[in-house]
Amino acid sequence: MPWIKVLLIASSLLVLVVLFRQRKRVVMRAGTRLAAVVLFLLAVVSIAIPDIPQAVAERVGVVRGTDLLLYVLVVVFALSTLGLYFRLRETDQQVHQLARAWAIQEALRREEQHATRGGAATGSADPGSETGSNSGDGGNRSARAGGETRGGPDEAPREAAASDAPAAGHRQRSRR
Amino acid sequence: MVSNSDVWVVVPVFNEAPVVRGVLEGLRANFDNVVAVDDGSTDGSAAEIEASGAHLVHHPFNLGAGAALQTGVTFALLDPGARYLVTFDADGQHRVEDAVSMVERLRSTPVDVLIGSRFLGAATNMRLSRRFLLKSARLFDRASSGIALTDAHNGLRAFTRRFAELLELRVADMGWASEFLTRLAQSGLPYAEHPVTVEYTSYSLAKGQPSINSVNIGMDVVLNRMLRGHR
Repeated sequence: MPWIKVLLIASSLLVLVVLFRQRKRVVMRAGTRLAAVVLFLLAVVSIAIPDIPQAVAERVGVVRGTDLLLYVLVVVFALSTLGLYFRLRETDQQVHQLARAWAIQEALRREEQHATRGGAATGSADPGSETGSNSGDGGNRSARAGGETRGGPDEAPREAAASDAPAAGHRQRSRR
Repeated sequence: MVSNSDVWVVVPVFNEAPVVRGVLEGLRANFDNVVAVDDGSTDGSAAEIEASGAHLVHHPFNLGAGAALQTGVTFALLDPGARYLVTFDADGQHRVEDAVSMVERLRSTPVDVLIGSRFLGAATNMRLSRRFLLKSARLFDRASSGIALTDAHNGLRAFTRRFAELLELRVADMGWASEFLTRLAQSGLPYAEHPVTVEYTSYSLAKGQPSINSVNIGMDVVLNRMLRGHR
């Protein structure tokens, strides 16, 4: 057996090993693995006995066995690219949700922090009709955001602080 | 003046430091609740937002206009007192009066969604190419969502809490405007267009989307429609 065959079989074996060692990726479904095993067997067979792909190629109307391999490669490549695209999309969406949840929690935390630090003096300076309902909102808001905020009277000073533009300077400290 | 304490204005911001503060201050003169979503700006936008006194939600990195809008809507909905939401561009192309009158119309008529239209109102300084592009976008939206508007991609929109809770935008990019319409068509809620004036300043023209980006937007929208629910 020529060396190239040994090398090729060894490398396809390596692909298989790498595939199966990725145990943490639960998403990698059994179907994918079975397909990989089949592909591996096909690879070994066609490397060891090139006459077989040649015969198959002739049977399906392709002139050369290597051409058949190329076509199969294109199909497999397209499939795996699509699979990766779907995964990437899903991951993107998860990242967005995560970033959104984090951003909102961070905003609430920052506003509450600001309210407890400097908002007390200005108290209910907010001229809106909201002050009454706000203490309730605060609790709700924090709870739904899953934050570690304590709820209660944070909301009213938050509004007051927000309407107090010059105070914004020191709010900035918590930014990075 | 009517109290607008049950209104939240959502302003997605990406690198608008020179103008965003003025826009937000203008809004805050009329609306108690303004939330600006800084979509990972690399200029001084975040500081300008804080200086304006608006609520600031800060994306850790740039996610796109649609994602920023959704963040703002999610934030606004945390306030159980929020009944009406308004989306407003940060670049100063919209007029606050238009937003105010849209909210008044939402209060007085049984529509859930109002979409600003610069073709019903007046658009100042619009280039011919932009006009043509917006016409095409309109046809595209009609084909993809079944909703035909005179102005497909106007950032000034006002809607009720009911619709906001259904919104859940997934197209992170500029394509959110089309996804918005798709969601609107699915919801079956009553909607209308509202004439607004769009001011094309030299700033907004320089900042605006390059027209070629509409190709990306269209592709994103189509893909997202095909793949919705796909895992």
